[in-house]
Amino acid sequence: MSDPLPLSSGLDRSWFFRPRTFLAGLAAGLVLCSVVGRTVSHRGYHTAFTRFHQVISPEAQYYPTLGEMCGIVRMRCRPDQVLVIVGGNSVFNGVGQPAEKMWTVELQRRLGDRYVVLNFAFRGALCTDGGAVVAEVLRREYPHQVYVANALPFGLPVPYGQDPYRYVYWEALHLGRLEDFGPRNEQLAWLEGTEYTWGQRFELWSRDWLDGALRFRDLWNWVGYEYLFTIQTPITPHLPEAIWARKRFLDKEPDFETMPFGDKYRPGNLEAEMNIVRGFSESYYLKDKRGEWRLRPSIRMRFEEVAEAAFPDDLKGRTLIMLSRNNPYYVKQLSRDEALRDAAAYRDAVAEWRKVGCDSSDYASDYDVADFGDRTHLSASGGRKLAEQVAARILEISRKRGYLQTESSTP
Amino acid sequence: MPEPVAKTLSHAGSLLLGLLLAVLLHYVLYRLGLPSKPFIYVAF
Repeated sequence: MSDPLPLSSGLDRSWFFRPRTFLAGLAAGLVLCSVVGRTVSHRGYHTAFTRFHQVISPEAQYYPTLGEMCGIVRMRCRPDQVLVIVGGNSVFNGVGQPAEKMWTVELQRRLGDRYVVLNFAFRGALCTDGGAVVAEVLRREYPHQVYVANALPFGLPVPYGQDPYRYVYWEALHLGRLEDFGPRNEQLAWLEGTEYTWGQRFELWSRDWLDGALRFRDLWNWVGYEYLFTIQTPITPHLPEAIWARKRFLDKEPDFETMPFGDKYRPGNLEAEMNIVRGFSESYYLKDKRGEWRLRPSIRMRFEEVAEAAFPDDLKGRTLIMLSRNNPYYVKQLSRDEALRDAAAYRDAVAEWRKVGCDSSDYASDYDVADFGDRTHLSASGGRKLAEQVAARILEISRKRGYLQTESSTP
Repeated sequence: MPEPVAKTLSHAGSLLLGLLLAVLLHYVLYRLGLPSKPFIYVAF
């Protein structure tokens, strides 16, 4: 029987495995992954970005990170340009408008080279989701900016967004990238106290803290976008598409303008759609003694409290909230009384947004049925009308805030 | 195998193993952070 190797010999007891070297490799690997993730997201890699279409959205298990979205801005926007970030829901995302006919393309065309328009709206998002967080995070890097998003009248613009997009807010908050804004902090404290257990709060915090250090979401989103996607999703369920780099998928939004009328307005959906249209104002209003519609005081109070906290005070002046009206095909089927209530809701909601310090307007009161593709989404022709209206307001905000001083002072 | 060569190889192997496990751990952290079910969008 041979003697074991002495510890002092050139080889350890397990000569083929070096624990210290292994740990050094592990640490070096994590640092390397972190640096790569940080670098690629910071400089941006969405070279052909149009918007977050289905394949690069949470619907397909692709969660764009805060760093990734900021990287898109850096790729597109020069420091001398005015940054216009579009947020909001599927209407502003341009559902039903092919990429080349998207309303934000028309907005960019109208605003010209002094502006860069980036569509960061997501399907089912609030005006405080995604794009709103990116705009706030970039407030110092791009001080000449306008944030525009759509909303529903008296839909609560909760300042921390809503799932599945709230992760962007958490990421920015836990990385210390947001302003310290008292009213929002109060709303957040209420949310954390009522909707999250301490365990869930710890999980969120630790995930974001770990991700802030290791940047695993940034790195693997980049790998998935550029080289190989590793998650099967309902949008790409079958091989080989399931693993294709996400950049291979073009923004192929269907075109409402080529859809037959019967596909867009199915008689079987009429009652459900009418109920939604009525719901835009029904529960918010009551009639006064003179028989006129009045906003319920509790609704007004709650809305003001939440809207006040939606955006930090110093950013409200560059925020434009556009209230989305429904398709006249449905609105014209409201009774006279319901139509009066609907009109009051838009009038009052615009006034409330302005009262808290944001610019606001409604759109589509004079649009045709052909300007819509369904109850709420716009066709390309509706998008062009929206772009015209939004461009005028952005120019007005730019003028008020002195973004274009350089141009006006040039002989 | 001469001792210096064996030593170098064992260090290189251990380093490589560490790097590979780091990448794997990094990927696992990414996957753990994703919701188990994708978001299904319903227009409203």
